[in-house]
Amino acid sequence: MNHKDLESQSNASTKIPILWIILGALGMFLAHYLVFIYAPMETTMRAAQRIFYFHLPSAWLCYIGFIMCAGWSLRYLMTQNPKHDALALASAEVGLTFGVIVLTTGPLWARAAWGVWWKWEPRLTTMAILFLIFTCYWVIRSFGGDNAGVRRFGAVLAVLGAPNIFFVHVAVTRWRGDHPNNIGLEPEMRVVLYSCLLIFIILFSLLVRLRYRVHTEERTVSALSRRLSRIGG
Amino acid sequence: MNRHPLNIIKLLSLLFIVLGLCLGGLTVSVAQAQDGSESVKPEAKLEAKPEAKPEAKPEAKPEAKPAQVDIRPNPKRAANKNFDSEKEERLENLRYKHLWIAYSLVWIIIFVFIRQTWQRSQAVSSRLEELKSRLIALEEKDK
Repeated sequence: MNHKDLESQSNASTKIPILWIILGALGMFLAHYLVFIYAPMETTMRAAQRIFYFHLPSAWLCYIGFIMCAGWSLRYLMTQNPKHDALALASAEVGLTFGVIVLTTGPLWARAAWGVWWKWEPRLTTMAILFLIFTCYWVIRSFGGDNAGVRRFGAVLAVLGAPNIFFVHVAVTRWRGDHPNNIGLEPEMRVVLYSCLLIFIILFSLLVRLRYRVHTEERTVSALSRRLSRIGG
Repeated sequence: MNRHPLNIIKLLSLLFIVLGLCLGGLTVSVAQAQDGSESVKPEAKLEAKPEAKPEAKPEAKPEAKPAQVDIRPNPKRAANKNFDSEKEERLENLRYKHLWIAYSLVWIIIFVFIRQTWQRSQAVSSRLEELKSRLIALEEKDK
């Protein structure tokens, strides 16, 4: 790897997606307009129901992040390509961020609707387990050092942890919890929900891309440091 | 990849906060279950209302006494009404408060994530530049 290779490599990875940043920022403002002004007031839960428009898309994107992490981890296990590993880590980190949003907005909604912050009911419990599995993945990847063994261990954990998403999804119908499921929405509410989902997808892909860029650069830095220390630079 | 040990402390404190919230909620649930006053689900409320009304009406009619309209103000009923409206107002305030907290938290979480990514990116970029210049210097030396 000479400095020209390095230049081309870093140029490829450091392109900041300006269009996506503008779209994401505008989208967030639009989402707030839709949620607070356009969406009609729900009769039972009143204002607290508006939390739902960020809570549900965040939950879906949390699942998508973890599924992507498992998919890229599986590919990494098969190909040993470090790019796949970087993508898996970036997806897990963004998935966890959306998971934090789900697990903070959820109790706030539950307190207003059920009168308690948390219930050990199937959907909430399985979601907490899923979140903890991927937190373990993130802790191992962040603090375990940068070697092939840690990467492989993390990849296996992600692949084995992701099927828990299925249990989270079926928890309400199979074990009959208190968590709402298949709610009949007014057409305006549906418009707001799907718009928020679209805006969150833009934000999700932007965050994954930014994070992937950081991991790729970190990998380049560690490879270059090793090379320089070998040749005595 | 060496990370500052403070990050582990931050992570652990976050986990403790989450666990504290969970256990706090659990304690309240258990206490309510023991009192027999479990919180009512909104769905249950909606379902119960239409069923209760038709059953109550036919039973009440035959026993009803001839019309005796009491026009005197009932202080108990007025107090109950006041109590109900206060309770409803408090609940409405709580709903708005939680809505604002939730949306603020969403912004804070996203902002913290972007800021952390940006800082890491800046640190890595400057390190990369430094290493690149060292590599160029070495290549020129070899020539």
